Amino acid sequence: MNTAPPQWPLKLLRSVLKDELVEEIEGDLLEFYQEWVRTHGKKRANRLYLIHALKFFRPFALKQIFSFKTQPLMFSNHIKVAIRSFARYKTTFVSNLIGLSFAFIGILFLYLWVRQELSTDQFHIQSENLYQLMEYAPEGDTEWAGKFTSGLLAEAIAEEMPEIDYAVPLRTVNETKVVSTNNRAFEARVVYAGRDFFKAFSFDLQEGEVEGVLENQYTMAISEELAGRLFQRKENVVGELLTFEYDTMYAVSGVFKKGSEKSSLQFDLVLPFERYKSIRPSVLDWNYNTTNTFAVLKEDVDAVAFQDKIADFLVEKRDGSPNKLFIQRFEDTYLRDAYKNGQPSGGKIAYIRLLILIGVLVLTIACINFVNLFTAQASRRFKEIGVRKAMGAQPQSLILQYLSEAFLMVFFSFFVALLFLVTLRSSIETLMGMEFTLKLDLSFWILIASIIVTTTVLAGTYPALYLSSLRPVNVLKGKVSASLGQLWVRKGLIITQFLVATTLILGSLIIKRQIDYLQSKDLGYEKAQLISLEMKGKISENLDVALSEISSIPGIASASSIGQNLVNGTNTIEVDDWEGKQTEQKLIAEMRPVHHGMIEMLKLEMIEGRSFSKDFSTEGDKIIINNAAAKAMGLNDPIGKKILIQNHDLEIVGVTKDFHYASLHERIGPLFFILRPSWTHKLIVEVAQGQNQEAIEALEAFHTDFNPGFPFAFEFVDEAYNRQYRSEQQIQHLTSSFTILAVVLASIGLIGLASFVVEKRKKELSIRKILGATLTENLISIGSSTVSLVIYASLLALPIGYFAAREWLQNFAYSTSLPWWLFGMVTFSIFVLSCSIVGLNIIKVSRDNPIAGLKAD
Amino acid sequence: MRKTYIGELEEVVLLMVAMLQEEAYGVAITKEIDQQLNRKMSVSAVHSTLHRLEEKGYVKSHMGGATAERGGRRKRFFKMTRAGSNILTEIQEARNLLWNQLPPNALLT
Repeated sequence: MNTAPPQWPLKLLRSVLKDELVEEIEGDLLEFYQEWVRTHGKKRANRLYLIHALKFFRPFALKQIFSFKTQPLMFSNHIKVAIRSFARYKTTFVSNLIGLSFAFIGILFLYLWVRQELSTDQFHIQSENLYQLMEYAPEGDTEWAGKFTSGLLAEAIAEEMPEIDYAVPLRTVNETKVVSTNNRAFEARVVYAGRDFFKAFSFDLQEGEVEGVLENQYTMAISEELAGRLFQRKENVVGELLTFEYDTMYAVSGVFKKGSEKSSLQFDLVLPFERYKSIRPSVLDWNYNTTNTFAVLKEDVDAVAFQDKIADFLVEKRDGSPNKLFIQRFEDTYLRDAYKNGQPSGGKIAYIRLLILIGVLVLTIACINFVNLFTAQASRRFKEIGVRKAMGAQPQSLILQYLSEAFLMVFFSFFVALLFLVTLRSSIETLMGMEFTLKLDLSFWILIASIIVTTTVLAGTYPALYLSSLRPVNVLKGKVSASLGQLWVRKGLIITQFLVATTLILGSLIIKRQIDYLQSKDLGYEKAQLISLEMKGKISENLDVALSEISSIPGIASASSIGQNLVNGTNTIEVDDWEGKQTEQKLIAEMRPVHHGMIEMLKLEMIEGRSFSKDFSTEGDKIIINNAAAKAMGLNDPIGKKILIQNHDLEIVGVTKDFHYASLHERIGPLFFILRPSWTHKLIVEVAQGQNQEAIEALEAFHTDFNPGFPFAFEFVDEAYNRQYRSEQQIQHLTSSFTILAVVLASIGLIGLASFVVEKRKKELSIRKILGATLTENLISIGSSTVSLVIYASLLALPIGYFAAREWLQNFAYSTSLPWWLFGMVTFSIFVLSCSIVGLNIIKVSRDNPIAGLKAD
Repeated sequence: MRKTYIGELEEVVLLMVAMLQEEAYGVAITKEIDQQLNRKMSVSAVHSTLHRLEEKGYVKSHMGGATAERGGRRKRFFKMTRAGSNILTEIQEARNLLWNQLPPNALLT
């Protein structure tokens, strides 16, 4: 009978148990094992055997690696010695403290930011099955992916695909709308959502039923906050009446609570999508992408197979459209928001990874500093080590001593960092232009504990091992000189530090350059003096009157209106036919309904033909296209050609030069202008140069007078434009702060190394000086070895920085250049910085009396 | 000398050592506690308790002979010391003292 238990638990036990206990413990375990085999069978017995063997990992049975009984006493002695050495070597202590706590502050903020980004949209209970449906064009040149779909998609696909439990259309209204009771009015962010909205998304309904809250066209769900402001109470508001845009009455059918978790969907008011269909029947068109579509899939549906199944869903709906559908889990849409061929590829997540990497690098630099300063300082404590060893201190106890010194240092720095974090949070928030929520929960403390432990181990192990390995006799005789190996380690560490620092400087300069480029690039239209206003109430009813009155306000140069936001507005349509169209050609274009004067106000240059004019009566049948559209349609002589869009024949009367209507991430695509004042929603006003203040005041006076009840809300097109690059700006803020951190830390490290080297070669310096060497000669002979390390590091950093930057710039369709002088400048300033740090140290020593230097020791 | 107290678990194990006489070793004690008191203890916990009792001087131990069942490994037998029997007696006496003073219906709550 084979009743031998597995061997390895015993082997493991033998290696950690006290020798005198091994025999009886093994014996007892084996005896039990025999019995377990009899009663439970071999398999279960093996498991029990393992469990019980592992349970012997108890203090009483383990070999005593450290003497537990004397530990508390020794530990308090270690702490005492550590504090004394901090007090004696104040500069080392302070530079360590500054270095480590700066790094920790950086890491903590980074953690807060990363966690906030990662937790966005993660709170929906249906997350597992909640998908967003999106559209992409697969082919090379016109490759494109978008989150907007036809307003018909949700209903149609839920009906035809049994895999879908239910689908939710969601139309986000770009501008705020006014809701009012008899005596109060507030602006609210509005979405129109399908009836299962609250079932799919976990926006907690406090009042009202999940089923049926958006059933009736004239009902709305409002946020608790908005309810509080409108009714002065948060309960019992279901059934209250609200006026929307001073126009239509709705009854409140639900009150939802906005959670503390970050959500990418932001709104105060949910209206039924059914209602949107009746206000804007144009959404019911397969060629018109306005709406986000979400679907909750049934439990056991395979998402990949489902994606393949729906890929060609649009083909028959849209009459042979080449566009395909794809799906992505809604919880991923915020971070993985870049797509290639219907698959997520990068997006914000790439930035987050990059920043985590930078954070780790900065922490590494700080640890390296610590190691450098610590070993350098310890070489001044050789005597202490020698005495300790001579008195019989074990290597373990020395290791423990230095580790506890390191730990204490790290702990102090963390304490300082936490103090900073708590007191300076708000000012850092304003500085960086972002908000951090400080949640001191378990994961935060776990992070802190693990950073403290890893830093202690990273920073303390090398010095501890190195110092404890020294031979006591040599140490006491003063025979220890920095060995070649040790010097190499130190040099290597400095090179690493400056490699990282230089790469970061390059990186952040290039990011800054690209953002400046984005913000100052000639977009092909004039946006500097433009203000954009929502068209509401009487202004949209009497648009022509309003426009002519606004134009006559002094300080206002002109006024017109357009259908979408100038910056990043989208309104894509599919073109049905045009003269000279090849059968396989397809065209999706941006469409901008405009009023008279809009094209002139944007100062768009006409390549051919003319702009819309009041002199002709049939301008409604005309169309102006941009150059990209002319090229896409293959029209060499576009003027007079006809285009068929949504069953309307439109004649091309003009071609404009291309201009950037979207962010510079994207190439300029085809764009059409049609003259349709009734389809316009944005009032664009051009303010005369230098009269912003007066003009806006006058405009506000006019608005209050002409459009009572609607708040006067405007924005400069410029600002809206810059806002598009917010995520890049955040990255810029973060990287530049981390760069400064890295440079400061690396400089501290260099100061440490320089002072160490100078101190070591003090005698040499003194002799040189006595023999008549000048200061310059001293500088060159001593400083060059240190400075050259920094030069090597920055030369290594240049290619790394160059390739990384080129990679990043490929995210943009239009990007800045990478001039050689930028790299030269960075190298040069690093050179100057290191020269001055090293030079100052040498000068300081050179000015001392050389006799003192020779006498010392 | 400062008086050393023992915990409930230690008391149980010590009683077992006294009860089992010549047969008091890890496995026997563990099984006996299981059978008599219906209390499952892991053998490592018993070892740990015995170790503590030995440190406190209530038991002493010696290695016995090898048996085939244990793959030739010897058992460590435990024997109660004078101090051990004293503390058990003390505990019992203290308990009796208090039990005897309970009024007739004190436990009928």
